[in-house]
Amino acid sequence: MAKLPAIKNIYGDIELAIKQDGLMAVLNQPPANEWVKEHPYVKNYKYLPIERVEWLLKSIFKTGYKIEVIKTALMLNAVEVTVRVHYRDIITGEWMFHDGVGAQEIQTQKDSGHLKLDMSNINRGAITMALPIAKTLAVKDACDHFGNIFGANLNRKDYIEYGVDLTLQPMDEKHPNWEKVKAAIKSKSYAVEDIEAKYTLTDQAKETLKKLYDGTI
Amino acid sequence: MEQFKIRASGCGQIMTNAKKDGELLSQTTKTYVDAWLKEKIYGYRKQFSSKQTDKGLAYEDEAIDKAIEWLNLPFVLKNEQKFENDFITGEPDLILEDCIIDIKNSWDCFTFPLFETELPNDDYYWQMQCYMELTGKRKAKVVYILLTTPETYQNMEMVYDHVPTEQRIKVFEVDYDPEAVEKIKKRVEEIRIYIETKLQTINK
Repeated sequence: MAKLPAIKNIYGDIELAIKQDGLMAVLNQPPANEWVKEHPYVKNYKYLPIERVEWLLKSIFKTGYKIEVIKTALMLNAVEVTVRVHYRDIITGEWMFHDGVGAQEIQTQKDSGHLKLDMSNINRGAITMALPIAKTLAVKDACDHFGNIFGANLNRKDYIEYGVDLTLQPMDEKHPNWEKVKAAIKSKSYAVEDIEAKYTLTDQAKETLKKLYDGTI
Repeated sequence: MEQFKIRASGCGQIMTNAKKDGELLSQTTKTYVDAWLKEKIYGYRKQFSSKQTDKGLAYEDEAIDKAIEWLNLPFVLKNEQKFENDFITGEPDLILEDCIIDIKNSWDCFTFPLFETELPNDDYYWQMQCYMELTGKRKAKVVYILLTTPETYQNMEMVYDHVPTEQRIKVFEVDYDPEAVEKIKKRVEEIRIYIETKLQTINK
């Protein structure tokens, strides 16, 4: 893993910058371009990775911060986490805090739809997976309050930017396996409904597959 | 109580040999069987979860999609049918005309078997033998895939989209071995005797 750059290498001497321009001015600098990542599965969503957020906390507040989990709970079909990021104001020395919330949908068993009330279709390990993601989102949400440098303005809804999108790429002519799907439908190896159960089909793609299945094209 | 049958995914655990002379079953096998027995007695399935298994589950469909694309396979949906005979149960990922395919979604580049020339995990050899016996196929492929690992609180995101495809997919072929399958059946029978003895100790 590449060594993280010292903040002074990007914005000059951080302490001098804070002294000259004030903490707020530094906190409201936009994050460096190389810090910002684009979500691999959600197009055009940008975010600061959690290790970058923690690195910023350490760089600016040194040991003068701590993260407290205030609450974890189930909310509808998601787990929610509330955290409090305590920090010591580097100018006044006073301990202050920002609160943040995060939520992550609980994964359900394949093809079982939304989470059932009795949770009978919950996926194995779903909570173990969702809870740390929700905590990550909550920490980021809290840190947004520090200012732009923490990625506050990258996306207005940070949790959307972060959420792992498990939806497969829509099955149409842009999908790399489109021609193979057409061949499978034509040979009646699968019905259109089988494909639709797994992929998002546009009206046009569905029409094409139906015609192929019926042998009308 | 229902008769013991080995799940294909657990077969590797019962096929380890005992280290002590005179012992029929290894400690690994006994541990596996004891857990199976508890599941039947108490009615709960032993839960296991890790970040690796979570990723595997979460990106299962994505991995299948990539395998079809990168290996130029005919289009196939994940098999949902559970197969069973008198000794084995199992649900292979993909069933093609001439072979079965099992997808292993590597956690990161360090667990991806880039340099291995032989199947790196013996458990998967036994798993494939089970699947082939159940489906009647005589060829199996274990396909390792390296997909981007999403960021969680414990780990940073690891993106592999820039890596050439051939360094993100690895195929290990396994041939059907009737002798291996006979060994599995024999071991299942040995385990059934062990289970009878074990049950006698708690029913006293």
